Amino acid sequence: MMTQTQSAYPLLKLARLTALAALLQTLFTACTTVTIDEYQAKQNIHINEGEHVVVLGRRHANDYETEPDLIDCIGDILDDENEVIKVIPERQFIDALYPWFEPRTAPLRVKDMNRLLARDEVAQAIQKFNIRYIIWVDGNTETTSSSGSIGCSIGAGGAGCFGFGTWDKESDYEAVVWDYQNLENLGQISADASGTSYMPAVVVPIPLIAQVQKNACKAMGLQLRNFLNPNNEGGAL
Amino acid sequence: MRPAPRMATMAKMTLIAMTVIVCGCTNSLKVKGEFPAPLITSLPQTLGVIYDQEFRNYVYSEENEDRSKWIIDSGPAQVALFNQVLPELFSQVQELQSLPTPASPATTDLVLYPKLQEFQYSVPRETRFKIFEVWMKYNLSVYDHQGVLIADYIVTAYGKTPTAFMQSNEEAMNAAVVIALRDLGANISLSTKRVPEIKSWLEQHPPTGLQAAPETASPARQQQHKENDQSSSLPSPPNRQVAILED
Repeated sequence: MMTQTQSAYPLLKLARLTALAALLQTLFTACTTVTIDEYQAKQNIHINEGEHVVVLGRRHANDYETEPDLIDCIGDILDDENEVIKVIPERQFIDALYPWFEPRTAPLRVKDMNRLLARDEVAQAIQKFNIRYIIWVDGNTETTSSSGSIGCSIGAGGAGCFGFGTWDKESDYEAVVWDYQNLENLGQISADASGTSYMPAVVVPIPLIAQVQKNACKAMGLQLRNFLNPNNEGGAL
Repeated sequence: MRPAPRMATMAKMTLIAMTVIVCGCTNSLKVKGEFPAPLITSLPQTLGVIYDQEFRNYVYSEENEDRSKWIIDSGPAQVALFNQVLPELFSQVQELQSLPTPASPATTDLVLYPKLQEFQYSVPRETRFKIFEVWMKYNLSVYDHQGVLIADYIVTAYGKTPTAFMQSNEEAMNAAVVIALRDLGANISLSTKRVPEIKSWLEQHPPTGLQAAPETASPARQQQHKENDQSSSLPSPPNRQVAILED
């Protein structure tokens, strides 16, 4: 019995720490508002077994860049909790099709795919992935305003901070879904998210972070999953 | 006797703090990245390429005192990019040590001599945008096998990357340089055949010298052909209106 108690103790401690971390994350997370807008150009959208989806970021704008981690996040959500949608990682797809999906060369409209598919080597490379849908995501998350100040000092007796800071973040993303098999635009989904983060500091700074990008990703990922596979109940928002 | 060790400790801490402050002002990086082989149709001609020491060991060092100090070693990365792209663009590529002359001609049809003319960057602190940007200007000189200049033209490359949580400035700048080099590779892959002087020369000169069948051009291409053969059982490509394009 003694042995069992000793071996169980670290697991119990780990479980308590995990629960504490989850509680702190819940308590110290500020609110985010997400608005989803969907336009569906065609009904009866479905995906067959063995067909794949690729999520790509638009990167041709001058003053922003669609974040690669957001693209990975949307891909992960599309891939999760269903057996139907299989996502090809963005990097794997654009490396295999280099240089045709670089910021300088990527097709901007679905009709531009004809230009690429006229090249046998490109058509064969895409065919190898058995792609059904190409999803282009454009947008970014930015800090729109910030205020307050926090001062920290260190001395012989210790260190500490005092003050209050706050900042607003906004996400604005749009996903366009192309049906590769029929070369047509199936629709668009936009996700607008905003949230305010706070950081009060009384000796120790306590961040209350609004996870704006993460929530925009989650909302868009679930909406896209429902868009591509409406029969999957787990995909509904 | 007690103050002496305390003074020594304080001196050490001051020295460490000053070292951290001085080192902290300089961002130094050796560009690391992998470049995929371009998916293009290769020319039947052969190519010699000259990487001089300046190109091979290129290091950008920021001299402007108003800017943060950056030392960017991009020489090996740009050589790696050229070595990945050129074997896919020409049937065979070999490195040369010097320009050919009529007395000592090259065994290849063409000779490429690339030079990096300008390297520029911007960081978020300067532009207020949360992106690192890199811009490069290359001068590409193309000679025939006797060293006669055929084309001398400029190719630019641009890359940017957003800042990310838990990502250092060096990692972000490295990503921007790698994206710029990929852009350079895309530009060279797609535009070389369209340079008027090169296009005209290719039309007038059928391939001679070291020639290789496209299938034996590079291991990457061989692998690609092999994979394409294996994928022949996959469903057919989509219905499409094919637009015929000329390079």
